[in-house]
Amino acid sequence: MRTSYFRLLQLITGVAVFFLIAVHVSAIVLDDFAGIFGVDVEEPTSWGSVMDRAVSAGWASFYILLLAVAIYHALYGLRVVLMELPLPPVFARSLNYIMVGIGVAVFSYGTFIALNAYYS
Amino acid sequence: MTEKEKKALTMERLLFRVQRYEPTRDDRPYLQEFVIPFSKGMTVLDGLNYIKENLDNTLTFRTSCRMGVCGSCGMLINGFPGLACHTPVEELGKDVIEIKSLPNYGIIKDLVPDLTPLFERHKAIKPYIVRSDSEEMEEPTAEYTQSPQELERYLQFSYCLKCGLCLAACPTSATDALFLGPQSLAQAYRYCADGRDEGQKERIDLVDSGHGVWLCHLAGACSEACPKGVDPALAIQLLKRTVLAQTLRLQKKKEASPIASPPSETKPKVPVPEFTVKRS
Repeated sequence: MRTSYFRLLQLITGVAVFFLIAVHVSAIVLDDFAGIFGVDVEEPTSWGSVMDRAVSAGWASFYILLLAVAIYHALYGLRVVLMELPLPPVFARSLNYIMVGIGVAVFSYGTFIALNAYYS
Repeated sequence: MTEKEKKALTMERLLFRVQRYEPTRDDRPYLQEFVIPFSKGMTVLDGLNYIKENLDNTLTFRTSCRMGVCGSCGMLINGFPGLACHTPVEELGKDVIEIKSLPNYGIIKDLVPDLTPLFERHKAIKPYIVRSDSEEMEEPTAEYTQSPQELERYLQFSYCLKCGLCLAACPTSATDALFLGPQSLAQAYRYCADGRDEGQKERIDLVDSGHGVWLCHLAGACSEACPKGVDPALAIQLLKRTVLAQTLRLQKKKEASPIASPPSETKPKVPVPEFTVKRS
């Protein structure tokens, strides 16, 4: 696969992270904001509010999406930075596998938590 | 250098601190100092020639045209890559001039860099017109047509001397030895932008790689270093756009320029004038 596909995805996920984080921060900081999405909260960071969002299908999907794009953007960016360092050839060759491994592990764990909370 | 020598230094005299390195003898490069007379309008190359002719004939450096055309005398002059023949000492504003071999290259001897990586990468991007009509390429019958607007698209990038200063200035080349570098990437764009060429796909396959066009961080050091005013940083950005357009299939199918049709009418030849002086 060409590098330009990965680079394009890096750009798209960068823009997506910007907007998704904006929604997330707004939901946490602005009490009234979550109400727009049907979540009635008094204190956005309280246990009850967090669980309200967790059991909402929309919010659960939103956080899984945010997790996916953030993982790709962060790990691909880190890979690009690391590839410019004078790494030992063995490490440079296995860097892709290491990054994919970390990404899959973090995504699986994060998704498991989100789904676990949703079905609780 | 002694204090007496330091005091003797005015703009009438210059101190050249020149890198010396003989790989078969020296462990690492070192600086040797030479005091030389200053003359109005002299260049760094004039100073090096003076040293070679009068002070130390073992000093080794490349030079040829002495007018910024051949690109042979690229060196690191007071920390900046430049052509020695194109750098007047007055412009440096100092009477101490430090000259080293170009960074990001190996050293053959003293101030002579090993430009093999530059030429290898230049060769890799197919720096020539690639056409499918191989018969016409082998046995040309006419010229390929090209409008002035088509020429304008790549003209400035065709002024590249292959002096290697851009690669020496590039911070990405300094950290990644496999990076294709500004010279070859700019030349890749130069040929992709040429209306007569059909080799864009082959070049993009090469530059759209992990050590290719996307590694450029747009530091712009290459454009600043270029002695001919070529802007390799611009060419690389345009190449990124070309690569992305091809990847997303946004680019119109490029029709290579056709062979120029023969002229419909020819003017009669102007007759050779008679000799005004009688030939004996």
